[in-house]
Amino acid sequence: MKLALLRVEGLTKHFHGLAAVQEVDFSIHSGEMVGLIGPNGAGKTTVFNLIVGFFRPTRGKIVFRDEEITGLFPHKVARKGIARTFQDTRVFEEETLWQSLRTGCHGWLNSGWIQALLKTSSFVKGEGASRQKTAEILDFIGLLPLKEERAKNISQYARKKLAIALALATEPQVLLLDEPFSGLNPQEAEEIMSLIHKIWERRVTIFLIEHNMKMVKNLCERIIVLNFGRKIAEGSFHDISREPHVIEAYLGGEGVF
Amino acid sequence: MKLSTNKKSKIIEGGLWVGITVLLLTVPWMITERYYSYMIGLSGIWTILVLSLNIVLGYTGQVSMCHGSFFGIGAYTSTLLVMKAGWSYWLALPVAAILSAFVGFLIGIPALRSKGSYFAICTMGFGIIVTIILDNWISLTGGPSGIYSIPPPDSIVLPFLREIAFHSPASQYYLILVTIYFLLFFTRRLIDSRTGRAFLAVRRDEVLGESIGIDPMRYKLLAFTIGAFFAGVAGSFYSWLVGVITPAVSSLYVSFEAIIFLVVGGVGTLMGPILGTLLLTVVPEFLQVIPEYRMVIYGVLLFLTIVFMPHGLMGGIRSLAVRWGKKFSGV
Repeated sequence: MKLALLRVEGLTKHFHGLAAVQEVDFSIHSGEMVGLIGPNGAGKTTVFNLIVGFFRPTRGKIVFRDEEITGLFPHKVARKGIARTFQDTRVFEEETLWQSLRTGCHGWLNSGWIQALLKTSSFVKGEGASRQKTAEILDFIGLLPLKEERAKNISQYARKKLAIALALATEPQVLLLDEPFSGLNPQEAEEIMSLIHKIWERRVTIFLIEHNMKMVKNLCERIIVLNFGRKIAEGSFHDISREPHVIEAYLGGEGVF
Repeated sequence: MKLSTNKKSKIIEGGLWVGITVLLLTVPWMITERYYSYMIGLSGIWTILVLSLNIVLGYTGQVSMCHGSFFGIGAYTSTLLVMKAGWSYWLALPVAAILSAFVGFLIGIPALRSKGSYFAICTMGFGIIVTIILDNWISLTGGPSGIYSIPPPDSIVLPFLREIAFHSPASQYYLILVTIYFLLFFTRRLIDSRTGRAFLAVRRDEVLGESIGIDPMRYKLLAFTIGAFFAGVAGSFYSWLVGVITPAVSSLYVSFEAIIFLVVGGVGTLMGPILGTLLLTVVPEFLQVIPEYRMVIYGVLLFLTIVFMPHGLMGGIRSLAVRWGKKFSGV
């Protein structure tokens, strides 16, 4: 049996008494690519926000590499090795792509401001490493020609890539992608799909939220389905697409009765 | 030989720096009238204050309304240490700056938890408290009448060189100039580092910054503390240049003026603070503007800047340079 890299137990989140996520359990193993699907408002993004520490769970716990990370500050979670992208493709608008990724190297560099003032050798070495990392990621992601552009001036497609590149700059072990294909044309979506596959091949565990079933089917070996904050199914695409609960959820179950 | 545009602009920049430095070094010979050299010294001190505010407001984006308080704390601490405790100025100056930084650190811990305008209001509240304390702790501060005849820094004896006294306007000018250059160097090194990039990330998108492992509180607090340190230095310089301090040195007007100079010059740029300060202190003085109209002029300039040059004078110059650059390279 494979060891769980990220494990969620009894995860529950109430907003003003309204349950957004209820008693959700799942684990993600090292080297997996897992999808999280469900109708709008099912609580998918809330699960992401709970994992990375933007929200504090009402109940339940989150364990990453045998260490409980429930309620840690987001920057601490990020530094443990969990990176995420945002649904609205958040990037540093005013920064060039080069600057953005240099900023993304923050977590694994450790020089302080006094070392920067004195230009100590460890500082110079760290800066070199971050430049190298930045160039490497830009090249890997195919954005090297745009490195001097400001993020606000690039296309939606390039922004999607930049958001992923920024997450990669933190050297994550798990990458949480929130709707990486939304707002793209089919051809661009294909490109992003192969990019995600390439990242996965580099031994980064991937957990993604997506509405596009074709992409989920092609990418994910295992899928978790949420509806009204509860996990209603889990398994391969083949299995879950035959689950009556899932079909019901997607067709709008209440009407059936 | 063909030079890349990057190299060319670096050479131009380097040349500009050398030219400006030489010009600045000769100022005491060109301007000998006591009143004008005093004015130049004063705008130099304002420059230090605005440069220190730039680290807080410019790079981490926190609108601090109590920068004047740190100016006041620096002025009063070094003056009291010299005049009441009999310390050497060169010991009193760092202690004043460190105390100012420490107060900044303590205030920053609760105040920086609030964001945006709430932070501005919190710091404003603190600013008012500092002035009230200086006004009413009469046994220590002399109350509203302040402290008079503050001596200039005592002279330094350097081995093998003659003694450097700080009675003359020229030596005072050089001391202020060296401090400005140090602050510029400091800011430049800081911004081009992991810490500086974290500062900017906090200003640009705190949530995104957190998601890539940046602790916003830590960097806001660091910037606030460093800013308070140099504001304390500026305040301490002010005390001997003017020779008199009253609780007004810590007032909200000082904080406001620093913000106005910074916004007009260009928030978050290296040279903007200097341009803004020079424009708004030296120019009205040389044009013999009646002091009562000063705030009116500031108001109008602030309004025009925010509407027409949201990135300040430096932003305006930069976009002009880009336009000319394109014209000359034939694009």
